[in-house]
Amino acid sequence: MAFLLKKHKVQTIRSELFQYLKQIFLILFLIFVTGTIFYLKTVQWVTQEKQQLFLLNDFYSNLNEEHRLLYQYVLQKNSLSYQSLKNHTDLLDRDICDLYRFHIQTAFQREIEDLSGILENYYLKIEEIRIAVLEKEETSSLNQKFYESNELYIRMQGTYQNLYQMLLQYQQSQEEIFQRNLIFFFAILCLDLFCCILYIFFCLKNIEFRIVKPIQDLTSTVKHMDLDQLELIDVSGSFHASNEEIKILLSGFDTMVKRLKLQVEERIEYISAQLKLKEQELTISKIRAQLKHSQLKNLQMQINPHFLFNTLNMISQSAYMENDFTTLKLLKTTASLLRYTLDYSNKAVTLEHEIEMLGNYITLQEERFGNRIQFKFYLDECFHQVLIPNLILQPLVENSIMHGVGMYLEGGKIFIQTIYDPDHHQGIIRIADNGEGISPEKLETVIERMKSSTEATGKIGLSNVYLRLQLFFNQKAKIEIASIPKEQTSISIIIPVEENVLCIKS
Amino acid sequence: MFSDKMKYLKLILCFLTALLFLSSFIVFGDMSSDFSSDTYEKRFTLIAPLQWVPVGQGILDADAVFHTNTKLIGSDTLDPDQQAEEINAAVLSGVDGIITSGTSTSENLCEAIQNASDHGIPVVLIDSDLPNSSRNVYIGSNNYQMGVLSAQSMIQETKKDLFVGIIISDLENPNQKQRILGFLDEISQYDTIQVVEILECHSNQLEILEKVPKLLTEFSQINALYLAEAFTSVVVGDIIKDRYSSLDLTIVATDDTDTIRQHILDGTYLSSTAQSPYDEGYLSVQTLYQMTGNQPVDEYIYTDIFSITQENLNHFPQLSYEEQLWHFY
Repeated sequence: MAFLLKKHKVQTIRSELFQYLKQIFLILFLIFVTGTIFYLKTVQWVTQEKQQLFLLNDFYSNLNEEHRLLYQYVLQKNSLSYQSLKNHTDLLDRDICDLYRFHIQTAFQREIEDLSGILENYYLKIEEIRIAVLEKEETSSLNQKFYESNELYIRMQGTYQNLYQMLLQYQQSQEEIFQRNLIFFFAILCLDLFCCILYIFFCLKNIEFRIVKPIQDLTSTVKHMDLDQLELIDVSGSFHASNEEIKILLSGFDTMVKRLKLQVEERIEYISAQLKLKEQELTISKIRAQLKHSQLKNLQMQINPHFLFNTLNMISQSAYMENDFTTLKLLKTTASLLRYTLDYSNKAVTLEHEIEMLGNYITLQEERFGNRIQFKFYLDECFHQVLIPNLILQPLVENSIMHGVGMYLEGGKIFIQTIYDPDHHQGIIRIADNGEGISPEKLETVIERMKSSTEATGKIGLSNVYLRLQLFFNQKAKIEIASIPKEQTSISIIIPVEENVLCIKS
Repeated sequence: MFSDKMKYLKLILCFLTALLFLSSFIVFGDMSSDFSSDTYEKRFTLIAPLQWVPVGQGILDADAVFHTNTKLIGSDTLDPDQQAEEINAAVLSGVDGIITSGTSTSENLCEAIQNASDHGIPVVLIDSDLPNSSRNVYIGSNNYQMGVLSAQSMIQETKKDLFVGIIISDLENPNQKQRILGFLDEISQYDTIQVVEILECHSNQLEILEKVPKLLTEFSQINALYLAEAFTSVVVGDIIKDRYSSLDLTIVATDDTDTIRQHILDGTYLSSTAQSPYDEGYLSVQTLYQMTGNQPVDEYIYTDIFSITQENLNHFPQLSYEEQLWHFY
């Protein structure tokens, strides 16, 4: 019974099935043993009851025989009949001894003892008769003694009847108790068997619930498994599994799915990285092609600027000779601008240098536009030592003049502003004008064209600036264009600034 | 879900299986006989009226204490010849002692007692004595003192002159004789009380029903009754309640039964002088046990007597009796 109630910690399928089988077998075995004990005891009890009745009847018949033999002895008075009588006495003694062993009731026992006492007196009377026979007493005396023995015999008969009645009553009461107990026993037996069947049913249900169903669910999951929906699979969380082996199986399946999912993700990432890399390589190759094209163009242009340089010097000497100092100034500015272009072509310059060169360009434009356009500088020089590609500001100012304020007869303004953003370690170079502005649709087209145009167009325009910046700052530079039509347009170049180039002046 | 149900089911199953297993033994254990494994040392026989259940209870208790066995043989009628025959049968059975009552001075009864004595079987008489028989010991109440106590109870409780009618079963009965003697001796000291008539009813209900009204009619001055015997005490109360409730009768009864207690409670009886039959039963076994063990015993052993009244009724709780096996004769 303790085995049934014991808790089993390790729950393998085999041990679980074996455990159920053992429990059911043990209970059925106990029921079988109980039934067998009950049957054997019933048989023993019935046999004992029969034996008791037989023994009592046996005693009675022996008693009658004893008295008959005594009567025969009194009549015959010979030793042979006495011997028969004496031999029979032993049977009576044996019966009394057997009756003593009945042990059914104290009153019954007492009755047997009384019977035994009377029997002792009866034997004494037989002895008296024997002596009377031996001494050849008168018949009347012998008859008197036989009469007295007869009284004892009658009393023993009475006691026998008492005993018989007591035994029957006892057996009857025992049978009543037995019937009652039998009903009780069978009621419990039926209840026990019913519970046993119920338990077997629950065992089967449990096996189905704990072992069969998880496996069925797992099979179904495997059947309908989709690589795109691997993240939805969680068998150990979704399926109930109390069995250790099933738990291991489900958790193993989950681990396998997770690994698979991871591998798929890694593969996808790898492929997308490859694609991105190819795209970047393509972009770089395009930029390089454009750069080569620019370099070629620069080389071509280097021939003309030298000629132009010589020409400008000749003109400036002529202007000097004629005291035309304005033309002289313009020519010097143009020459310096041209020299900057030639000297620093495809080279990195400091922002300070670039702005200085821009100043030359603006001097030329001021001469050109007079008061129609005002140029204003707002500079944060702390990051002006940062290196940038040359000639990235001049095209932007040129754009502002050409597309912004160039058509104004007066009131045109162009702002050149540099700002350092310490939070993001960025430098912002903004060229703004109060020109015609750009409509949102056009602005979107311009930005798109700027970013997508990777081919060398031969123009040193916005796309060229953008591409050079991207190439120079390794895709870390940005150009932002904002415009309010009829009001203003601003172009901001945002470049990364390392701390080591920062200086205190501003 | 299943495991919880299974846990409870398993517990029930274990319990039922254990119960079933035990029941296979209990079924037969319940049928085991009332045979006591403690074998008794002595066999005694009580021959007495069947009504003597309190005596039987005392005997059963004493049997348990002294490891003896006493066979209870009883009869509805107090026939001395049958009583003698049963004594002789007990002698033939070779019992170790006989307990009976000297209800009659019958010659057969005395001879039977003599026969037992001849066979070396001690005889104890309880309740009623036969001093002239060969009995060894008498155990009972002092009947003379019972008479005295009854008279005292009657005198102390009343202030008026009393004319007493005495009703008994048998004038020859030595116990009743002694009670009347004690009663008469006690009242002789007082001038205010005198006995008018002594009526003999032989413990016969019809005779009582006939004679008692006659007594009260013939001797109209009677205002007190002394019922000197148990059966009469049970019956007379009902007659008085039915027919003579208007009379101011002072009645003193004998013995302690439910009916007599009821008569005391409703005021029909002033009191009842009772003895302790339980003690008689218990002491008789104890005495026989001592005698068979060759220990000295007194020839007369008196049990307590007491007067039950309305006031002290609850001080004498009635005994509860076990089931007793009586053999009829």
